[in-house]
Amino acid sequence: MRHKTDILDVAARKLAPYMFVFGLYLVTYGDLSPGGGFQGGVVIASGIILLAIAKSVDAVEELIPLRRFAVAETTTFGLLLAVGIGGIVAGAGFLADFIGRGAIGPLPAARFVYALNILIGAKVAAGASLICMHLFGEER
Amino acid sequence: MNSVALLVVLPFVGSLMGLAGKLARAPRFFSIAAVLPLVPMAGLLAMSLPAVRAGSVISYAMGGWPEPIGIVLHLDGLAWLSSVLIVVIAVAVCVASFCRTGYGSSFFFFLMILISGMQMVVLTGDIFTLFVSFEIVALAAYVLIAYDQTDAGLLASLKYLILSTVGILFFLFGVFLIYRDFGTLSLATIRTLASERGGPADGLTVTRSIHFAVAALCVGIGVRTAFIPFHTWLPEAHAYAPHPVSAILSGVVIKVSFLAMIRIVWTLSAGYLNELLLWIGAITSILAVIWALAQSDTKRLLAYHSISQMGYVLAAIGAATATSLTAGFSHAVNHALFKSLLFLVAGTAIRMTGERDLFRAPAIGRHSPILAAAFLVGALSISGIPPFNGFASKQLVGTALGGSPAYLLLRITAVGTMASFIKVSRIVVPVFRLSPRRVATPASIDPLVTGAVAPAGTLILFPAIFLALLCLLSGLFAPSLAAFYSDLLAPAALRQGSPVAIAVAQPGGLASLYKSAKLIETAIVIVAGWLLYRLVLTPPGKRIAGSIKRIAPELRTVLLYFVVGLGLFALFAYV
Amino acid sequence: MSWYLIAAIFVVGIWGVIAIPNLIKKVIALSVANSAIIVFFVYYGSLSGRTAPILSPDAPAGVPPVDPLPQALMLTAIVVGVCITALALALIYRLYKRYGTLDARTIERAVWELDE
Repeated sequence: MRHKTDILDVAARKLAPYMFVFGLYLVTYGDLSPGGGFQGGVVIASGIILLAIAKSVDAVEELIPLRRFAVAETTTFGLLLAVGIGGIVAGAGFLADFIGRGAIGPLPAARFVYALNILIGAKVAAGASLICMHLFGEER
Repeated sequence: MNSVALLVVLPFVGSLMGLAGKLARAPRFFSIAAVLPLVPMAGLLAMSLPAVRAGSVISYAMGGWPEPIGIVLHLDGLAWLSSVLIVVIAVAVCVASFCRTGYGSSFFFFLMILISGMQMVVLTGDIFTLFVSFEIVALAAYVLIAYDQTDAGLLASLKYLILSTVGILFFLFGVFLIYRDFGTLSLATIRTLASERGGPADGLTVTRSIHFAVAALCVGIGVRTAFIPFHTWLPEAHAYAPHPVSAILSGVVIKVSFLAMIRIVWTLSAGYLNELLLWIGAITSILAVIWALAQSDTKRLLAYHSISQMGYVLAAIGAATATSLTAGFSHAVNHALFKSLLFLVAGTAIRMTGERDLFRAPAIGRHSPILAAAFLVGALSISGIPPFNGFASKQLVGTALGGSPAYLLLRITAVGTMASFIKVSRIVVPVFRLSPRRVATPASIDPLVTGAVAPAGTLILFPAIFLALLCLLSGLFAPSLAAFYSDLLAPAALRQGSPVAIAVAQPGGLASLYKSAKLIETAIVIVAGWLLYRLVLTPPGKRIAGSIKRIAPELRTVLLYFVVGLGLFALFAYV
Repeated sequence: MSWYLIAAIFVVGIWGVIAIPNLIKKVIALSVANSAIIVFFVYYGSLSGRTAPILSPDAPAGVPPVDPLPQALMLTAIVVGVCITALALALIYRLYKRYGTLDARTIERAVWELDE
């Protein structure tokens, strides 16, 4: 990380927010169009990884502490399980839709899938960036 | 009905506790919380026994989506027995893992993921979910093998990863061919389609792509089960893993994938593979035992015996007689019991003395007589000495094989097993140190003299005594147990389209097992085993053992075996 | 033709895993072989119809939708592949830090003590 140019630095900083937004778009529109929790989460994570490569792991850790990633990952894992078991409690079975469907114009809105997408997106984003940060962090 | 889903979900809840323990202040508390879900799992299994025993299949559609679309779990006799086996071994291994404080709560996270994946493997009804659950099991296993981050552990894990990923790619290719031909992935639907196409005998076996699909699926699972062309990852992975992990890997992980293979072979009515399986099994058992005899590392020796004993199971299933499923399954269960016991005690002995080499390790018998006794129970069981369970299931395997020439190979294997367990028992009992050519340890650094042997801990005694008792009891009540197994397995086999009807064995009392002819045969095996053991310790024997030990296949050679194995399975289909 | 091309990609991947001693390249080859299998499924799925499998009122009538299952399956397979790759790279990284080489033969010889 010694021979770093300003171009890399500027480009990474300008590009990362767009990647976050695009990731969020993929997560939130995943139930209606191509995309979804995993893909969106990976895009968000790659934004974070881009920052970590271009700046440094410390810079990212200053922005968001690593521990918070771990907490987010554990919490979303727990919430996913809770949603799954919620289906059993509602009498519909594990991971069954117990919320019901709405409608956006002519298209059906799968609220349950939407909720799952957001949870998975958060989990994947936190998990994937955590893996890379740990690997980069070992250099120190 | 929800009980079936809970069998998979409960370990995940446990793993969540393990993950939370990494963040919380009290990791010990969370580690215990992580393994607690095993208790309700055992309860659920006990509650579902009457229904399963009556021959019904408890099905559960994940998320309420029915068979061709969704993921459906089926709890039938075969799945029930395997599930019980997983829970029993998991309980013993978890208790043993608490014995060493070095395992953080993340260890239990991966252990519970492993257990959940195995439950999915035995319960799932479609081959793609099977692929996913195989990968869940494998990912958890890779991490657990490398958990201590020793050099050997890391490389063993990587070797396992590369080999089994190549294997699973072939499996996925098989899944693709099946999907192309049938348009479905659910085993039950494939079964129906197959019978619509004019019966399993001709309708299925004529399609060339199905032949190739079965070959690809068998290669993929063969890597996980570790029979001979694909076994090369196992000795390292099982030997250099942390000790409780070796116990669970050798105990259940390799069996679970094999049970999945039985289902696939039956459903696709690939009965033509039986003869191949029989011979692969027999050759596996004898080659692995020769390798085992040559080893001087305690855990590597045990790992080679896992391959060898899986050969027995494979041969029994391949024989395709009315008792073969019961025989194979009882041997798989018994092997799980005594091999986990052996790995746990051997691991504790290594932890106590800090010496893996069985020729240099001091015997722990004087320090912990209970552990030594438990180890001997395991050794007697695996060598097939009455009244322990290995004797019973080896007799059953013999009955299943009938007069097949492959049984001759298994008899030779029995001698080799006897010899190598006389050899390995020196780590617990000094009686077997008869060889005067043993490396003389100076008294000053002999751990026995200086008292450097670490205490065993009391917690390890519980799983050791528990498993040793199970070995003894399942040996004493072998005939009624065999009847129980066949009772549960027969309807499951029928439903999956087994090539032969499974005979429901009658509990004929102990007398049927302890015929004088069989006892004389056992005595001959003991004597021959002792002679072989002495033979291995002579200078020429040592030289041969040394050269066998040096055949450590490198990654490159191993992958070539792989292609040969695939060709073998594919060729056999066309002949 | 396309089928043979995909099969060739698979064979190249498997060959890479067997023949290349560099561990990182082995993992790359593994990913290539994995992608070939994924392309098998996706290509087969794409042949089964001509329009997106979405149940909406303005979907063109009479045009068969593609089979959505292969894509859904392969999404899972991709996720699994990512996990495997990440884990393999983490293991290789650890080994590299200890031995300073990525050559599988050198590391194997050192760890299993083959030169005794």
